[in-house]
Amino acid sequence: MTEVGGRSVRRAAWLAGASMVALACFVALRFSATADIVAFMPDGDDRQVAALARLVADSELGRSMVLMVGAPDTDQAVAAARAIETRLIQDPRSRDAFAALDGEPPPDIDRALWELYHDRRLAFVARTPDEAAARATSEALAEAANRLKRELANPMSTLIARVAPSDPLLTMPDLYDELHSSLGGGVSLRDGRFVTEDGHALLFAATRAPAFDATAQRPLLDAIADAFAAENAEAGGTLTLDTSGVNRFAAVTASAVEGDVKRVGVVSSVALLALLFALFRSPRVVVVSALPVVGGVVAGAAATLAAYGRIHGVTLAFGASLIGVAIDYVVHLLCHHAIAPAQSGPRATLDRIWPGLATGAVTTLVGFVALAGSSFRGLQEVALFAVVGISAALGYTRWLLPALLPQVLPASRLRAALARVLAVALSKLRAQRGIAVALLLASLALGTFGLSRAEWGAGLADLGDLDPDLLAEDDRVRSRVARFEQSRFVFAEGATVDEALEANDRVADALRAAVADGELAAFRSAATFVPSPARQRAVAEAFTSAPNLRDRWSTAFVEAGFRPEAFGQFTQALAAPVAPLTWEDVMESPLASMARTFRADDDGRVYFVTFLLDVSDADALAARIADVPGATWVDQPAAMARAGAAVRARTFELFVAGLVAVLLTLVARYRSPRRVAAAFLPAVLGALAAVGALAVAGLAVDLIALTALLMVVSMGVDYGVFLADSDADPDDEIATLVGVFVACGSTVLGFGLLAMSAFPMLRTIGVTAAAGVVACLLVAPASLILLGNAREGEHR
Amino acid sequence: MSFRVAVLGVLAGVLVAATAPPSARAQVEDSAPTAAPEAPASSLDALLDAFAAMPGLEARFVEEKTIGLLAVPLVSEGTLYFTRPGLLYRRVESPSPAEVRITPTTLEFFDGVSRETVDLAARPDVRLFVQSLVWILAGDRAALGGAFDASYTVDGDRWTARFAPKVAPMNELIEAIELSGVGRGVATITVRETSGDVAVTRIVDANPARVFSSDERVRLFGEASR
Repeated sequence: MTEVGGRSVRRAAWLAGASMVALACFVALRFSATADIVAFMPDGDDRQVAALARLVADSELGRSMVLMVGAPDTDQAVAAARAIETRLIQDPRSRDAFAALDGEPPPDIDRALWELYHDRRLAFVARTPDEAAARATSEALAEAANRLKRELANPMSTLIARVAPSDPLLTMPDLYDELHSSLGGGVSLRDGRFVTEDGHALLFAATRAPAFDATAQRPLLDAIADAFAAENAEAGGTLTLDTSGVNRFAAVTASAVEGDVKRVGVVSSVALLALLFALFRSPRVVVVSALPVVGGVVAGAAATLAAYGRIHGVTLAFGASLIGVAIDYVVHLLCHHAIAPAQSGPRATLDRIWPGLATGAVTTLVGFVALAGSSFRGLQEVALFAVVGISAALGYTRWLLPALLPQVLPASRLRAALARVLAVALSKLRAQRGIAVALLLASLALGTFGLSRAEWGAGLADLGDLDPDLLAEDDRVRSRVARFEQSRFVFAEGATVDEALEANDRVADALRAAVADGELAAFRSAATFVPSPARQRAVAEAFTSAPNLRDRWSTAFVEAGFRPEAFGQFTQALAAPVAPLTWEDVMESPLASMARTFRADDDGRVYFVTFLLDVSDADALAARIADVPGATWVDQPAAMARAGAAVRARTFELFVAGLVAVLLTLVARYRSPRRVAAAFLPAVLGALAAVGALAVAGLAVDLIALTALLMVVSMGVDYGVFLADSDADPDDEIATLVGVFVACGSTVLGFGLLAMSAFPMLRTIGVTAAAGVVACLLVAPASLILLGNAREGEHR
Repeated sequence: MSFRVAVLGVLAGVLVAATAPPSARAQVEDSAPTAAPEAPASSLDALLDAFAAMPGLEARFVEEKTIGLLAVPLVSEGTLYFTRPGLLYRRVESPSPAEVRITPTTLEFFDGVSRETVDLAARPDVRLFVQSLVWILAGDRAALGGAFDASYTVDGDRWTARFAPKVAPMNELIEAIELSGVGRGVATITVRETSGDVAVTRIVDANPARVFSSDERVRLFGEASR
């Protein structure tokens, strides 16, 4: 190496090192992880459903929690819930984390209801203008008179008698009853506090942070657990706490992912470093060899954070897996530098193997670039992380590593022994081609078995198994408090609040007809307590403008025995204009906390959600809502199934496209069918073997498995390319074989641990990749031998 | 929670201040005594002691409500059951069936179509309104003393006990609850509202020594009476 060349290498090394430090600082400052499953919702088909599902997830509804406290008797439960509420208000972890924490109705809610609605009662005399007109018929007025008379005969007539002079149609009593049932189905009051019918005390909460923000949710959940534990200790262990909330699932999932990723990262890193030290006997080499891997992960994380603002757990898992991919380049260089070094040092060794390294990396990148075409934001994130990370690792291998490696590596018994064993194994394989054939056939058989038995997962539902204990706890709460469906909604949309409320009125009209036709049991809508101003005006107008209303009303009530002159407030109201109730009026009242759960805003649009109870005919309901302007039927399970099937098909296309792209890259590189086949066959057979392993493990070939298969293909091609590129020279060939063996071992270490994860996504990645790369390791030399290597070709 | 209960607290502050309908005060005439003539209780305490000693009560009644909104009074008939420790069941048989059941913790309505239960522990204001008659029949001086200004007058063999609410919101709705009778028997129960409306319940046939079997207690007063 010349002096100028040496300066150039050092300058490149300094630049590479500086870039790594800068990226590491960026990652440290901006790091934020998530387990948000929404990231894996499609942006293509069902886009609107996905957007609305995201809206629910991000809305106050998605942030709501219910804490249900049980005790030997209701009074104890109420007292305990009150004490837990006090503790949570005092605890700094929860005090500011709750947007709302209510154990009792808002103060003065009855007065607020009266003040909001009494002067507008004629706008609430019916739900629709047609119904209002029907209430103004002589027959309906006669029935109203008789109803009032019956009510006055009841023991509590004192109250009705006070309301009736201004409200002889009893609109306010009906509205009160409807509103109170809207405030909480299955919930009653004890000592002024919310309780279930079976005596559990309730706390309704909403968190400030989105449910999927596990980092923010964890301290809050810890505070709840601690508050309950303290109160339960004081009660002698007689209390129970059941909690419902999306945030609990998100936190547990995030913990599982992060825990597994940390374990995999630490254990595989330690094992790799130990293996590298045993092979190369140099602490300097061990430390230096980790740099490209670390640099790749840091660069991938930095790119992801810069593009998305946070990293998904799946992307992190791939980050840990990158160790297995990027270390291939380092190991390949180290093995050649140790076993078949160039005279002038590591840079020259690198230059010699660079075509193979670059080809391997390009095929890997091509595979991951294909993923960027996915409609899942999560997979696009994975693609970005992988492409940037692998590119960076390759760059650090080329520009940083040679400057830091010693000119000569110390001898290693393990390395020498491994080289001898692999040389013997290779020569036996050459001598007994039946073994090579058997290896290929075994991979093919495993793949065939896998394809015949493979369970093709939907691609979305398989992404996150919910903790069964948490699910059971959630069900215990929901069965007592909120039985409304959690995955099927109707959204009403508008450019303004009033426009959205008008759509919401139309939805409520349609759903009332649906209830009458038995398509669902009931629904909960903001239209109950705040119809659109247009609807309120129309209802009041339809009632008060009925011909001769005042005279007919008077006649009906006189015939029922009433004195019309006692209803002066009512007859005056018939002539007065009604000022409609607005959304702003409601938000300034104690009803605000309840009302907020119905509204979500997104991208300048206003949405109102309607909750459904016991949907029995989803198809009919969907068809009915489809005819309502401004309304959208959201059936998350159905949309997820549709989207899952579409996305899996799309990902399979991407997988095939990736294979084709890899193949074309190899053709462009080698322009020799034999070499292309030798490089490509291990990847294909390795992927087939991985499908077989998934079938054996009882795991579905889902979206994640397909993605991992793409990675197996990329790594299998690496092995094939490295071997194909080095078979002209026996020393190079043995060096490559040792490198491939070590690289495979390091990948298995990383992925093998992922296969033991409790998190299904990580388990699938682990099984797929570990089985795949082992098959690649076995098939790569076998296929090279069967197809004939360069030296044999020369002999022929 | 029904409107009837929810609105109670509001009514006191909002409705009472509103224009009250004109009302014709009923001219109440005491009915015949329900038991053999005996000397009236000498004092309110003695009257309440006598009520407290009563094991149970079954009485036929005729209620006449004079309400300002109506041209003619509303009349209903039925049966009243009471037993300790504060269980009341009132069944209207005509003109249309209706039931009210009161326990120390709940109020239950049935109007012939729907049934509704209200937790009285959650609404102390409603509890006072609902249980005042129960406290009187149980002779519960402690409860009555906290909620009512009571007076007692005797005129020959006729007596009148008057309970005027002194706490809101009841005192804004009810002017007084009056019991009157001859000797030791209760003849009428009159509820006078601040609006001028009056409900007079005449006891036409009473058994003040009624003892209820376990089955009857459950049937009449509900599971809570077990």
